[in-house]
Amino acid sequence: MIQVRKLGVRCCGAPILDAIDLDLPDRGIVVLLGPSGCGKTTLLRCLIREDEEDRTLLVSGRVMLGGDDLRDPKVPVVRVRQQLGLVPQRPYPFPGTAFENVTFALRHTTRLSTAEIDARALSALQEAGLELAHHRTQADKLSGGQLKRLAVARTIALDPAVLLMDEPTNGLDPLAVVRIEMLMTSLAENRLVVVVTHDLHLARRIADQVHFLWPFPTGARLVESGPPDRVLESPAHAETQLFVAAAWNGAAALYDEDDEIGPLQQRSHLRPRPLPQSDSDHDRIAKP
Amino acid sequence: MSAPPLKLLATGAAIAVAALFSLLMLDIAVEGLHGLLATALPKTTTTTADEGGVFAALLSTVSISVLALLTSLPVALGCAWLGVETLARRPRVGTALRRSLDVASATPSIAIGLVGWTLFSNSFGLGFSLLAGALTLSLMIAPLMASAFLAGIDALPAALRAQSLGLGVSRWNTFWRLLLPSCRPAIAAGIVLALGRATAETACLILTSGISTRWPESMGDPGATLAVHVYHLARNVPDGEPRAYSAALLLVVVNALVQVVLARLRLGGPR
Repeated sequence: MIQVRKLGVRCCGAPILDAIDLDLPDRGIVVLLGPSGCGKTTLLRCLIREDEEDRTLLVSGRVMLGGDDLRDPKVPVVRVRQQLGLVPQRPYPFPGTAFENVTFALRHTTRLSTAEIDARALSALQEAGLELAHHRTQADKLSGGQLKRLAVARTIALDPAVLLMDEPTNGLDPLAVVRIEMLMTSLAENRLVVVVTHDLHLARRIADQVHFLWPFPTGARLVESGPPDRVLESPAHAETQLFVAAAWNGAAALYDEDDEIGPLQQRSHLRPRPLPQSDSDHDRIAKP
Repeated sequence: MSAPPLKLLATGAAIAVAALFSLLMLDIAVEGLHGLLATALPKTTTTTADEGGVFAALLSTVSISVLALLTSLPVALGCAWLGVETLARRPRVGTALRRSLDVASATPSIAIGLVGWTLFSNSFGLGFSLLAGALTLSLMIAPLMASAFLAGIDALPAALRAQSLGLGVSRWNTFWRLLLPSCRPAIAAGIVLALGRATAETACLILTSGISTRWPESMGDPGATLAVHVYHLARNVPDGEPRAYSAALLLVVVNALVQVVLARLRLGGPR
């Protein structure tokens, strides 16, 4: 089980995450939800210590896995990244074929023989659902969905205990989304899959557990956690209610019964642009 | 200025530059071939360079250029590695390193020649020798290559490095096995640029490898490269102009061959 304790992040002095406490199970799918820019990706990056490559980030807190604090500098970062594999939001193909993309990290992070590396790469590509015909295709010729699958294969070839997926269905067509969804479900049978997404429909279909992040002036905090049915159907917190209502009902969620902006939305960073109510209103907005 | 006249002006300028360059090359080719037929070919190895033999100068050019490349390439790669790592982890130091490389690349060759003369010829006791010339040239071309390598790496998406590191691949392997192979054209361009500058250099070599017209027997011997030889024939040898042209033609051909060979280098994916 991964235990995140008091994880705080500041970027150039500005708070991003504020003392996040999070308990993640050994297997299953955990979905992190929250508005854009609230720090979900930053949270994933901090779990694998990617922040060490970015001097603008100041991180505090602990990430415990199997008795080790993964954020402890004494724990080799390579070991952390072998235990927690990150599939990035926008995977970038390495030069070479899809197969070479998968063997690349295996060759440079393990002591496996060439035959073993090839076998693991093949198995990972098959598990990720990339068709055999595409194994020898140049990676930069793959479609968006195939590239996401390749990124998954690159990561699971290293056999991480935890798979972190940053917006895995972003920009994909519905069929590709379903394929990725099925892939995540099958991967979660023997490992933990943490998914960052804005797609509430996806979250409701695949998640075993949902955590909801919300940005506050002191940094983002987890405001609600629980099974998807409860969090997404009857959220207890005002922020979650707003987010869920916006997802299900669109712009109507931002207005109450009297067509007034609700109290939560009156916060400056949430206030929507007023919708034109009449021709004169429209003129006023069009000609500031 | 409206678009059509601007386009016309740009096309005219491009044609003018191309025509000028073609005339220049034609002049070197015609004069050079004439010089070769008249003097150089029958006595390439048996006579001194003053009489038209160019093989000694050709040997000096190849020796100095190859040795300068061999000594400067590891330094340039090291600088590029430092540039990538420091820019990612200590942006101010990385930026300072890049600016220093830019300044070093633009240092006048006569200044580098003076440093090489003081350091290698005098302090290290190498005197006028091919070795001193090669080491001085490597001082000149290392920053040039490092800047070209860094420009190539900077043109790659930052995600490439981040995603390799995210898979647990070490910084060194990410640099050596992924970033460098991904920017091969920039590396080839850097080497071509550096070799072009090395083979065409005269000022710093006159001070370090000398203007010897004899056949060099070791790297400790003085020797004039083709560029120095052209300068020597044109300035110091009576009626040496035709032979200077033939040596210049050879220099152009050598440079073109290096460019063609490097442009044809095609290596596979990440190693």
